Amino acid sequence: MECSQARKIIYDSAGVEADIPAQFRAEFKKHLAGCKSCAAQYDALTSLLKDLSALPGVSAPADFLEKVRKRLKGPSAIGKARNAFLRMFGEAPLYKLAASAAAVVVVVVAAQVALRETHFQKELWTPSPMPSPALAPPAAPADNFKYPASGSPDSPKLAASAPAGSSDPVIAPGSPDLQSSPAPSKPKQRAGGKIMQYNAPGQASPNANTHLQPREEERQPEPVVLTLKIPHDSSSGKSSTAPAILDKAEEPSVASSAPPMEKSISRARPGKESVKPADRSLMDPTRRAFSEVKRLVLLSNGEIISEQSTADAEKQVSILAEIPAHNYEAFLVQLRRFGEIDFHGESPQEPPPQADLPIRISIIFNQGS
Amino acid sequence: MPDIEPGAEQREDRADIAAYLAGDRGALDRLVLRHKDRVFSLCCRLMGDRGDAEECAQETFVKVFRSIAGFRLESSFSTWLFTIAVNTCKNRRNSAEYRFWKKALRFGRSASSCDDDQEEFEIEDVAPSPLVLISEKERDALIQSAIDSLPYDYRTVIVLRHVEELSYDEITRITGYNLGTLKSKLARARARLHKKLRGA
Repeated sequence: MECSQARKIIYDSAGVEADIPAQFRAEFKKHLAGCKSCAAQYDALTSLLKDLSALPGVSAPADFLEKVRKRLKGPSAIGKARNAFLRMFGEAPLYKLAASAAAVVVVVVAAQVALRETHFQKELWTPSPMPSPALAPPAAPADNFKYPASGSPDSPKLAASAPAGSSDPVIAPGSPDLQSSPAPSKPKQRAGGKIMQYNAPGQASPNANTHLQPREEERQPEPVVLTLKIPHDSSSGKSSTAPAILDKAEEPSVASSAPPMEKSISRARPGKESVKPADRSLMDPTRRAFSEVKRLVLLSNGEIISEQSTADAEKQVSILAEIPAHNYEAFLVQLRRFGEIDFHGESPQEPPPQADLPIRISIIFNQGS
Repeated sequence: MPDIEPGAEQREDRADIAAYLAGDRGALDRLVLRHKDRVFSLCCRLMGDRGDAEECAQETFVKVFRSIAGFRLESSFSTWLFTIAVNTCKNRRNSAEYRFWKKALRFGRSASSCDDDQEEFEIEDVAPSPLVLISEKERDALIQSAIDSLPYDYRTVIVLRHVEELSYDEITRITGYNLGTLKSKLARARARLHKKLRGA
């Protein structure tokens, strides 16, 4: 047996002969008898283990029992955790806890809904990178205008003409020139109550945030522009006749007296104006027709967007109004009683398919010779 | 495992347990007074600090009496007590608070070489151990210091086997090691301890 094997047996058995494997017992004793080093190692280890066994026991403190009793009376770890929980929530009844939890859930859900709506609005108010002509803002009263054919609902409802100077007035849908052409912006009413101005995007005011214009506003159709030629000899009796075809139960009082200076009425609602009718005999035919057409608009359940009248006969008198689609044809029939109608561009043959949408019409009064 | 034949102490333990469960508060005192010194001594050997040992010993008895209704008398009460004490000491040594304070106290001292993997069965000189040349009190302190330098599992088996002089069966019940693992750990622990004390 080698010394390394003998040392392993020494530490494995720790001097206990029963722990020495039986087949090595005799050989181990023989080795110890012949090897002084291994014998000394064996003696040292057995002595150490005896010292370990002889280590005196350590007595517990005198108040050990009292401390154990005291700790036993106290709450356990689970009890401490339960007490901590009760200190935090135990004071409040169960319904308060439930209400608090419900309130937290409601706040979280509301926040999520609000964030989602904000995202939706942001998406809605952001213009598409390639706006179609149908989404283009309404153009200024232009020279070229036409309704599209009714059989093509997907095509743009109105084909607006380019601003003055453009050789191709009608913009085809999806035309590559659409972005480059300066489409007129949405009409704006100035603070002074002037008639609407049509600004090109590049001419917009610095404060105007054009990309924040809602799309619904941009979808408003371009106005039908027409010139109403008033004959010199138009009689008051003819023009004052109310169109019987219009299903208006109550005839509203309409501002019929034109002010001596420029006047603009924005969003005049039928029945809300109470203006004393003027003496029609004192008016010239254009101004009389102007008043009657306003009255006709209101009788047609229409809405006057803006108007421009002036005492100066040289200046243009016009009305921008919205007529319900179902009254549009009857309105034109009654309008022809005041004089000849000259549509700018092509004359619309029929109202657009969306009969619910009002038709915006711009009437320019022109006193013929 | 076969049930251990109860000795006189074990019979007293069982009687006191039954009395405690029946509502006799005095049985608790008798059980504590009978085992407190052994448990406290074991905790002192395992923790190496009297304050920590007292804390662990108290916690051991508290745990025992809070769960004594579940004690099924399959082993002796002392074995069960020692099992809980060993685990309590182990948990305390692994606790963050204990490690923090030990780390703070160890700050500035050189790293201990007790955990290095050196050859354990090397040949040394045959000079007598210094333990024989010092006083008994110093020798006990030296031995305890050597025990403290051992890893916890080696320390546990050395203390249980050679200080408390428990049998292999009891130690396997307490530590959960199988017999082969226990003997292997014991041999390595003896070699390490011997080496520590030989160099002292």
